[in-house]
Parts: sequence; C-alpha cells; structure tokens
Amino acid sequence: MDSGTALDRVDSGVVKVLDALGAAWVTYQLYPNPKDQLPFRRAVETINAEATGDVVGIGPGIFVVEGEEYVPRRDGVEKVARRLFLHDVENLRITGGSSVEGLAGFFEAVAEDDEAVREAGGIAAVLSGVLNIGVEARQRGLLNLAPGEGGVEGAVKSIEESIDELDLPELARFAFSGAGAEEIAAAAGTDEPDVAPVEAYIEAYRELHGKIVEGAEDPDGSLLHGLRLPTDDPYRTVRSYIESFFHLPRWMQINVLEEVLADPERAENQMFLDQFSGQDLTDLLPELHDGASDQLLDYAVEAASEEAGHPLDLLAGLSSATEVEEARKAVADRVSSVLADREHNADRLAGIRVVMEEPINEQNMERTTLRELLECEDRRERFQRVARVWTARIGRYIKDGDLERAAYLLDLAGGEAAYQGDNDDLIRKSLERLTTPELLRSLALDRSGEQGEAAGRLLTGLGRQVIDELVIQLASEEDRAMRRQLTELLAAAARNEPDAIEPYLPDQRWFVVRNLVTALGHTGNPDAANSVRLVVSHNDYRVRTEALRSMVTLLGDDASPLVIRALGDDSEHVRQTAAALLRGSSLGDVDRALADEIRADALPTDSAVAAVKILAARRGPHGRAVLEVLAGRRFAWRSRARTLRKVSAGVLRDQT
Amino acid sequence: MSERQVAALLTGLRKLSRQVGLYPEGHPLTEEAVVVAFGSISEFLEPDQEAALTVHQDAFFRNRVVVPHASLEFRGFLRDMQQRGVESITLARPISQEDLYDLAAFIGGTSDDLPADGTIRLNEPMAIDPDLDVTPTTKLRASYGATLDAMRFVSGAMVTRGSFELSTVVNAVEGLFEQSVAQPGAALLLSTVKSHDEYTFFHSVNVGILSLALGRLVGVDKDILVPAGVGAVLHDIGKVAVSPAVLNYPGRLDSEQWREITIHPQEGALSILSAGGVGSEIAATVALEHHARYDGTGYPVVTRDGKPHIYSRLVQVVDTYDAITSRRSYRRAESPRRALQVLMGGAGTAWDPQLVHAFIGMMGIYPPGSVVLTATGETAVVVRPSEEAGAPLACLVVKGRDGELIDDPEPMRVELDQVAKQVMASDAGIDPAALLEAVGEAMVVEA
Ligand SMILES: [Fe+2]
Repeated sequence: MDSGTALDRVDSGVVKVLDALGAAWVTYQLYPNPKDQLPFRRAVETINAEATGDVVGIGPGIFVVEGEEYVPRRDGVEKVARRLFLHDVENLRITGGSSVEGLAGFFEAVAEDDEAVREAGGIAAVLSGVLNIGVEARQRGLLNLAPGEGGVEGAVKSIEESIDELDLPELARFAFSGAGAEEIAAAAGTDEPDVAPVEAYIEAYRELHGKIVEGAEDPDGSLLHGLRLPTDDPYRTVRSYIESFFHLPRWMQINVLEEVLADPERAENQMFLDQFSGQDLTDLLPELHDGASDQLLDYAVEAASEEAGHPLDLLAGLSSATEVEEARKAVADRVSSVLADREHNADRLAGIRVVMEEPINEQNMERTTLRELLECEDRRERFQRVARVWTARIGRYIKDGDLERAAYLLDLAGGEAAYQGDNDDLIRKSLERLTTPELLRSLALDRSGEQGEAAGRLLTGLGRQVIDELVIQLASEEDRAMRRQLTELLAAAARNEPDAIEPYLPDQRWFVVRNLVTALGHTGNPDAANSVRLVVSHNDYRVRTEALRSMVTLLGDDASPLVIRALGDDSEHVRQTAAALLRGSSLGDVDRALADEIRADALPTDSAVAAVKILAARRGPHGRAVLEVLAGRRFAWRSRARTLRKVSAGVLRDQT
Repeated sequence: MSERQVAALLTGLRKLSRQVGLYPEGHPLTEEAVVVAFGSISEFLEPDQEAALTVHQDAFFRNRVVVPHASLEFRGFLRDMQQRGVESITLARPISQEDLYDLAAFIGGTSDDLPADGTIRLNEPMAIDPDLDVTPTTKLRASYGATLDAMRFVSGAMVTRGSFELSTVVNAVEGLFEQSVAQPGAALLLSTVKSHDEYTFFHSVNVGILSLALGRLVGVDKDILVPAGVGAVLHDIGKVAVSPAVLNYPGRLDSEQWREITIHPQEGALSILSAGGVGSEIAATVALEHHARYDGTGYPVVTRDGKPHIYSRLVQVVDTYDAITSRRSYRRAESPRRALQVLMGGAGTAWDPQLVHAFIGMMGIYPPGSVVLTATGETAVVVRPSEEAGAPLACLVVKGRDGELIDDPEPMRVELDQVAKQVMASDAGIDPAALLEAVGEAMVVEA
C-alpha cells in the first residue's frame, strides 16, 4: 500500500501503540505461549507508557488517528484493525493499566469467530470480563440515530431481528423489509370481498405509522431502537404503503377508504388522505357510500383551506359529487376557452414578449435582491452571511474598478435601512472586513469625473469604518500627491459624520493635524466646524492657518469674526492668511463684521489697522461709510482712535 | 418493462459496490447487500436465463433495448462503469456469489479482480455493439442528463463548500436550449420524466425545459432565454439547506417545519449571489421570488414595488405545473390536465394570468404526457399539444383493448369525445418520457 499520509512519518504515541499491538497480534497468532514473547511484553509496556486516553477509529483494515487514516507499516497492524472491524468495534481508547494477562484475554476474544461473538452478545459483552487490557473497545451499534453515551448500544442485531422486535403485523413487516407498493398490494388484496383483509390492511398501516412517523418525531424515544431508517428519507416505507392502496382491487379501495373516512381526524388517517391527489379523490368520490362521501367533501374543504392553491380547491365548498363534477367541468371549460381564443392568444404572447424583452438592469436586480434578503432574514447567523455576501460583491466591484456599481450597492447601508436595527453590528462588522488598506489605496488612485464622484460616494457610505485606516495611511504617506488624495478620501468618508475625525486631532504631529483639518474643511459639512474650532488656537501656526481656511469653507460669513480676530495672531503667516481671506471674500457681511470688530475695540491696534485697510480694499458701500465715520471723528482721545482716524483718512484719500 | 428491471439491477449493484468499499466481505451489512443484489439480478434477468446490461453513448441498454429513464437516474453509476472501462455486463443464471462480489468491488474501484466463475462476464463482444441503436433523441437526453449532473454538482458543491460555479449551469442550460430548439415536441414529452429519489433535480430540469419552451413560444431570443432558464433550473437550489426529514415528511407540516421550507428561496438566492458570475443577478431574483405570488402574498415577505419579475412569474407557472404533476413526498401526482385546471383557478391571484393562459395555450387541453383511456378501450399517450381547440389528440397507443402492452406504439388520433377517462401514467405503468425513446421526435411530429 502506498504511504500517503503525514501520520506514517510521525512517531506519535498512538502510532507506537498501534505498531506494538500489531506486533503482539502476530506473536499471539504464531506462538503457543505468546505471553512469554518479547513483542508481547513490549506491547504491554508501550500501552502503559503511552496511555494518553486517545481514541483511535477503526475502519476495514485501517486505523483512524485524529481524523487521518493511519497506513500501517506492519502487516500485523492491518490484521488487528480488520479483526476489530469484523467485531463491529468502532474505536479503541488507550487507557493504560495493561497487563500481559489482560492483553492475551483481549486477543483471545478478538480471535474468536465474529458470528460466535455476536451470538454471545457482541464483543463488548465478551470483553466485559477481561481485566487490565489497557485499551477499551467501543462497539458500533447498528443504530446511528441514537448514539448515546457509554459505549455499547447492545448487541448487534440483524434487520430481521430488529423487525421482529417491533412486533409488526405481517403486512407491515413486509413493507418494512422494502417491498414496493405493488408487492404490498398483491400481498394484501384479494378478489373476494371480505372484511378480514381490509382490517388487516388498515391495522398494518396504523402500526407502521406508529412505529415510523411517531418514532421519527421522537428520536430519543425507544421506538426507533433497533430500527434502521434511512436518514435521507425515513418515511419511504409509509409512503410505499399508502401508494399500495392504489394497486388494491377496487372493492378493497372503497372499503379501506370508507374505514379511513370514519375518523379522518386521526393523525394516521389524515396522513393517509393527505397523500391522495385531487384526481384520486374525485375518482373515488362517486363510489363511496353517502356518509363517507360527505366526510370526504368535508375533509377536502378543510384540507384546501390549509394550503393556498391546493388542488383540492376544486372539491372545496361543494356538497355533492355532482357539484364536484360540475365545478370541474366549469374550470375545464375555461381552460378550453383559453385554447379556443387563438386570436387573443397571439396578442397575449406579443404582450408578454414586450415585457420579457425589456432590458434587464442587473445592478438594480442585484441591489433589490440583496435588500430583500437583508429585510427578510431574521436569523442572525444567516443575516451575517447575507451581509458578507453583500460586502464581498462590493469589494469585487471596487477591485474591478467598477466604483459606480460598488457605490450603488453600498447605498443599501444608508438611508433605506432595510434590515432590522438589532443587526446594525453585523453590518458594521462586514463593512469593516471590507475596508482593507489595499482597497482604500485602490480607491485613492487618481480618479476623475464620475469615477471620482463614485469613490466619494463609496467612502461616504463606508463612513466611520474607513476613517481609522485612512488616518493611519495619511500619517505615514510620504508622497505628497498621494497625501492629497488620501485627504480627499478622508473628507469623503467623513462627509456625514465629521465628528469621527475628532479623536485624532490631539495628535502630536502638526502635519497630521493639519491634514485632518483640511479634510474636515473639505467635507463641506458645517458640523465639521465644531471639530475645527478645537484647533483654531493650536500651538503650531500651520495648523491655525489651515483651521482658518477650513472655517471659512465650512461656515462662510459666520467665520468672519474668527478670521478678523486672527488679524491679531502672533504669527505673521496667520495674519496674512486672515487678511487674504477677508480681502478675497465677496460676501457683503464681511464688511459689517469688520466694522463691528473695529468699533468694538476688541482688536489690538495693529489688527484694527489691518482691518481698516482690508475694509478699504474691499471698496464696499458699507465699508466706505464706516471709514468715513472713523476718519471724521472729532474727539479721538486715545492714541488707538487717533491712529485709526489717521489710517482711515489716508485710505479714503487714496481712493479718491 | 426493462426500465424497472434495469432500475432494480442498478439499485442493487450500486448499493453493493458502495458497501464493499466500506465493509469487508462477510460483514453483515455486506451480506445483506449481497442478498438484495441477488434479488435485483433475478428481477433483471426475468424471464431470460441470460441478459446483458450495456453502456453506450451515455445510456443503458438491456439486450439492445435502450432504457432512457434509468440512464438519467443512474448517471452516477453509469459514469463509474465508464471510468472502470465496463461497457457491458452479461449476467447468466445461476449467479455465483463470488462473481457478484468481484463485480461490485471492481466497479466500486476497490479491487482489480474480474469475476472468474463465468456467471458474470464483462465486455463481451456480443453485447458491445457499435451499431447499437442510438435514437434520434439521444442528444436531447444527453443534455437533460448534463443538466441533471450540473444540479448534482452544484448542490454537492453547496454542501461541501457553500458555493458553486454558475457557469456549470449556464453551459448545461445552453445545451438544453439547443436541443429544445431542435426537438421541441420531444423536449416537452421528456419533461414529464420524474424521479422519486432525486425529485428536486428532475423537477429543476423539467422546469428549465418548460420555461425555455414557453419563452420560445412567446418569441424571445436565446440571449434572454438562457439567463431566464438558468434561473428556472436553479429556482429550488435553496432546498439543499432544508433537512431531508422535512422535505420528505409525508404529511402536513407543523409551523416549525413549514418555516424551514420557506427559507429555501432566500437560501437559494443567497447561494447564487455568493457564487457570482454572469447571470447571477437574474437567477438569484428568480430563486428569491419563485414563491412570491402575483397578488403580493406568498413568501418570503418583503416590501416590493410592483409584481415579481416577469422571469419569476414565468417560472412560478411552470414550477407549479411540474410540481403538481409530480409525486411529491406529501401528495400523489395530479394528471396534467388537472394541473392546468389548478393553474387556471389561480390565474390572477397566485399567478400572472397572461402567463397562465399562454402556458395552457402551449400545453393544450391534454398536455403531452397525458395518458387517456379511449372509448374503445385502448390506452393512449398524448405526445403533442393539439394545434387547435377541439382538434383530435395526437397520441400513441400503448395498450390494446385487453390491456396488453403494444411493443411498437402506433400513432392514433383520438377525438376529444372519444376520451373516456384520463388515467395517471404511473398507475397505468407507463413512462411517457421513456416512450419517446422508442419513437423519437419524428414520430412525435407524425403522430
Ligand atoms: Fe420552491
């Protein structure tokens, strides 16, 4: 045999035990007095030394160690495995505490004819009297349905014995042994009307139903003990049995059905009737005696209401066989009339064709389907899977460069909120998985036009999930162009939730803070001003400069007082920026704000002078009026006022 | 007749060859399988002393007679045989147990020893005949089988990996489309083939065939029909997630069991979307919507603008028809005609009335595959929808007045008023799809 697994190269303790067992087995078979032989004693030592409690599975000629097949290196090992398998040993546990006597007793049992052992109650029963083996053999039960704890499920039984134990009537036994519907019917039916076979037929059905259906519904119960039902279709036998009804002679069918209809509420009778098609019932209805046919109609009404679009609809609501027949004819006539109206038929097909040929919007379909899945999935664990499939598709589109489609699909996370609120965390988790550094970098590639816009929408949609990652990248990025890109991406990501950037503002590195402030400005969301305000007095002038700019972008007019006050900043750079911002602003209210600030005396003289000059440069009518007032002041007691009068007069003179 | 014999033989051999791989000779489970296999062989041989099972062109033959249904149903075993180079198995009474065991071990791949006692002989020149009858519908059946294989593969992949490749199904549906165009009548008849063991797979392929047929009748092109057909074939794929005990339950379901059933549209849509690939959006939509009714009820419950998609609506009609005419775990099959009546009853509420009418128009009053008893006592199978209302039915007579089977079915026109009764194909022991093999598309047209 080819050595294919890793196990045969590993000298694990378990493998040593198995090899030792193999050698001991060969010795046991060869020598009349094996207990004195070295390999035998060595096996006992190995078992005791390697008593790990490990469990080894048994296959036909193989051992299974930790789920892997152990390909035996020694002939004897395979033989032990084969013998154990024949005795229906499912696995061995290496317990330790082995003695030469015990191991010999074990082999003695294993060497016995397997049939004889089975008759004696199985290998476990035989070994129960042997002490100090060192390994514990667990016997395979025939029943997979009730594994249970504690090793042996009892002696192995043949199917015949199992069926015997169920104590089934002859017909049921026959069905249970796998007979087909026709065979069952042949065994059950006679040509001569007689009560006995009808009773026997029904009796056998009830027994089968009880044992199989009720037994299957109660897998822990004892009913199934000893039964081997196919796990894929445990009800096959019941179905075959009911199917056999349709192969019975007619007189028997009628009698059986009437008997069943005498109590249609009984679980097994209901199941019997439920198997009938509408066609079957319609066929049989006219031949039943009056009471039974009434019962059948009642049953049909009740069954039809259980299930929408049920074929039994055709029977429901009717009170006699004639009416049933008439109703059936009426529907049949409608079917015929559809066929007769060929002209209309052609129009109809043309109409359907128009609809079918409407272009398919796959993006839309995909989004709708995912939205509906998110909406209807109320099992959390499956919801998680839906969310994963959804984000995986977004990720795929981003990688393929189809940002439009990715953004469109991502929109589901936004306003619509198709899913239930308590699954928010799962959505967030999926989005987090999606936002890998690679993905973000691929978004940062220079994009323009629609692609750029889509990238923006994507980031806005991803929101908080990507901000961490972008801030980290931004802080370490050395390439300026890339930094600019990342800043833009950050702005897009923070568009709806600018406060998500706030936690990063206390960074020690001025350039990091400055980029964050730029991003805040570019969000275009006035709420971002609250975050920017935190750093307008930052100790680095470059941050203060950027903060001014961002405030103007975000607040427009409302930022004016702040900017005017910056005319008094310690840093020349900040003062110039402020001045430039004020000069460049075309908003009328800047004039008023400047005037207010100048008059309020809150500005230091230098700043006030700068403000006067800016007001003049702006050449607004309001500003001129203010300048004239300042220049025309008669009583300027303080030097500050005198300075302002002089400057104002000067600029007015220059203007004329 | 040979269908059942071959099915019995293959069931027995399949079981034994699996058992032999799992347990040694002499193990009680193997012994039991041997007994079953013996029984199945004697059923196969009946009434002969010797008979051959041959594999040729993806089909099983019993003594040169093609066995189409078993060829679809036991495709896995057919592949096993092909893989082991077994082209024919000749069985001669009395079979020796050693030969049987060797055969099973050989096909199962656990041994290379051939049967040596001469009661089972492989690849006898007599049995392997290159001129073996290949019926005109072989290609159609092959594409049916390929679609079945695709379904088996896809659901296997879903169980083991949770995903699959959509292209597998797309290729299969393209083949099905080509063959449906070449042999439209035969395709309709073939769509009546059913399976107990693989109900969902056969049902899926049938829904595929019927959807393609209805789409062709409407007049839309291949590029529209193939994606819709993929959706049709995959509509029930989510059933993989439903436990067999619930799917096979023979009675009414309690609310918990019912809940488990109702997840299959969403499970299907999800698996298709996670598979991805061209056409996955359409297929997922169809899977998700195939139980959403026209009037807004049905499941799963979601907020939807308007009706389900037209493809979904089409698949719903076809799905219902094939389901009702199939034997399901909880109910016996209805006749094709009755299925049409059920559709008619739900037109406008459960289903799109235009599509119901179009479908009825395509199938005719007695859809292909219907079995009727004539006033004169013959049993006939309707093989083609009638072109006009009231026109006589195009049938093949399969049983004579005394109920005797007719070996070479004769074409016959049956006037509507000569239909005494409609009978269930299964009750009459007739497999309309298998009949097709005997006659082929030409006969379907001629009938
Ligand atoms: Fe379904």
